[in-house]
Amino acid sequence: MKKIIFLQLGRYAEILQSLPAIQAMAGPSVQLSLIVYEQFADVVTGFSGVDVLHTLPSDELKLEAEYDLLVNLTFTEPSTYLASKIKAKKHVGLTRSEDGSIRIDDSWSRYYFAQVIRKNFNILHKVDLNQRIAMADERTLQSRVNAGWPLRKVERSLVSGHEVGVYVTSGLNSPTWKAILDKVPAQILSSDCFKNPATLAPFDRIVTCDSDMAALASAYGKQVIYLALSFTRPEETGPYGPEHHVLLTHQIEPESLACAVGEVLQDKSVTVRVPHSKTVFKSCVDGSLRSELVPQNFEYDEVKHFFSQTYFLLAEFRNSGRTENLEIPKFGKRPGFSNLDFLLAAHDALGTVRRLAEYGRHYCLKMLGNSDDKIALKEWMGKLTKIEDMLADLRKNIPYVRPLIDQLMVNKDVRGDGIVEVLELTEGSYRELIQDVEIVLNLMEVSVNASKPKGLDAVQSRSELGHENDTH
Amino acid sequence: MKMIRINGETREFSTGVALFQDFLGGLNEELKQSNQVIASVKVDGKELSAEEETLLSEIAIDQVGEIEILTASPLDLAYETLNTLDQYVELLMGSVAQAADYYKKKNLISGDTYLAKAIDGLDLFVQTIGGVKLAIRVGLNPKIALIEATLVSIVQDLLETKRQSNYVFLAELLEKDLAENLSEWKTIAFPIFRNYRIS
Repeated sequence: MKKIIFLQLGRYAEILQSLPAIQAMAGPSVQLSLIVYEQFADVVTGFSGVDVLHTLPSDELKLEAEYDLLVNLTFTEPSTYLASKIKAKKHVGLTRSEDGSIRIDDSWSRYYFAQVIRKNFNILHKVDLNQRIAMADERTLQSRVNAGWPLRKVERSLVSGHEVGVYVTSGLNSPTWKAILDKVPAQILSSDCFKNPATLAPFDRIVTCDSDMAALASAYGKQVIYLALSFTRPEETGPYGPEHHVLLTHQIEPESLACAVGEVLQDKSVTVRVPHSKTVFKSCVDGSLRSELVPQNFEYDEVKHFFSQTYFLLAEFRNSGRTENLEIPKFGKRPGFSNLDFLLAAHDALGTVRRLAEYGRHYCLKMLGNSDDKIALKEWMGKLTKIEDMLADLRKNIPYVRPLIDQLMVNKDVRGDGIVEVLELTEGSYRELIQDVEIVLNLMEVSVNASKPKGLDAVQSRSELGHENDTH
Repeated sequence: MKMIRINGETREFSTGVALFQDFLGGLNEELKQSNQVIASVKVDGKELSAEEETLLSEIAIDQVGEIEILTASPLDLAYETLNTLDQYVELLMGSVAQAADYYKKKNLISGDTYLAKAIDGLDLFVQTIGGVKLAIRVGLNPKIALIEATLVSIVQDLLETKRQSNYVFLAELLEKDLAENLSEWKTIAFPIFRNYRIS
């Protein structure tokens, strides 16, 4: 019997977003345990997959002597202390080394730490990310396909309502909620539904700005109209699965938002100036599905869209070893609205990142060749520090290269047995950065060529995108 | 005249055959008639390595010490090789696992070193298997053909993923596909070779 333990010390939403990963790993020869905070534990009830539920705080956690696998899906510092105390043959997610420093061994968790925590470009929903993290050890092509959404064992009675429910929380101000409730014939939901999801039964659509409620309602198969607050990232934490609606609320008047909610509930297009997106399931090359937001009445900034798609492709390639298929993002679809100057700036910055990474790798190799010469090592270490400073400057000024630099910093923050291993690992991180820049530049070339009107020659070389010399 | 022991029996050879290599060439020709080959050569009680044999090749046979020859049939040698291959596969699997582990940790320098070792090892493995098949005269065996085809496909994928710098897939190919294939050689192919003479 394989023993797997999951650690999820988040709130309702985080627990619900972890359940598909837990269910995907369940099986007759697997015993699955989950540790959550007691105040959020009720939400697990009714879902299959978890064999043993442990709650915190507890005077005595009755854990197994050793697990085959520990998956920590909580990206907080306190969770690492508990993770490091649980004995397991393999740790996935954040944990601590013997010297007390934070350690991440698997690549998807490193991605999460570098991109999601630092709010970089990431189009993967947390449900999809959790599955990728948990199943890092599984066969690439067989992983994730078994995950289901809405979650399994949803009672039939809970998906048969016809009412609209509104979950009022302090995320939006009272005039906004009043305007919505004036416009929409709806019932107000109470927070009891987290303890007793049966209270969701009369509803088939839920209006909310709360990510916990969005996760609960979508897990029970309800359609969610998610009013995304300005500081949230609905692509990561909004409702999961197809056919949900997301309305952005930043700087939107209460009347306009209420009108948009009304139009969505009547299955009409949103005509007021409120950005409206819908969620869809998209197929991955391994046959699994991922949830994505698709704009309905606006278009993404082309450059930002290009980099979002590019960094998604890079993440799948680097962490799952897969080459995903995507429609090629194009530039200049709306003349006058394209931020092509940003594209050129990003292109130049990518060239600089590549050159700095080449220098970084060069000094690592030099140090590896002279690992006994302490004076030379000190001098070259100084050069590496300067390279890092220059990369940090670029990170601050050019947001489009930030994901690459953040990933490098997380990847190279490693501990090894002695200086030689540390240098080899650092060299590997720089080498991978050079290759990543090449991949991004190649994709940029493909996109620029695809954007050219028919009849014009394709871009012959990258130098046509910017300057002949792409170093700073 | 020079006294030489062949398979424990002492025989006289004319010293007219001047050089050591000529003596071995002539003996090989003679052994061919009885479907035998030279399995080992000892000089003054010490078995010669390939290098030592080359060093002695230009020396007159009179000046070489006491020579002892062991012969074997190619078939016996093939079965002996199979036993050695069993241990060799274990070693190869060790290199493969090390390479995968280094690639997963993003230690690409050590990963590349162990991958190169594994590829060299596979090259020798494939050549040796070719020799064994020839000696045992295994025709088309579907099980062995399938394991061979899988190995070829894995090696092609390894080279392609290395070219793409796809380290995740490279590590997966090494630690799962290649390790499984090497273990199939041990558990499926080698027993078929061993039982071939009996069946």
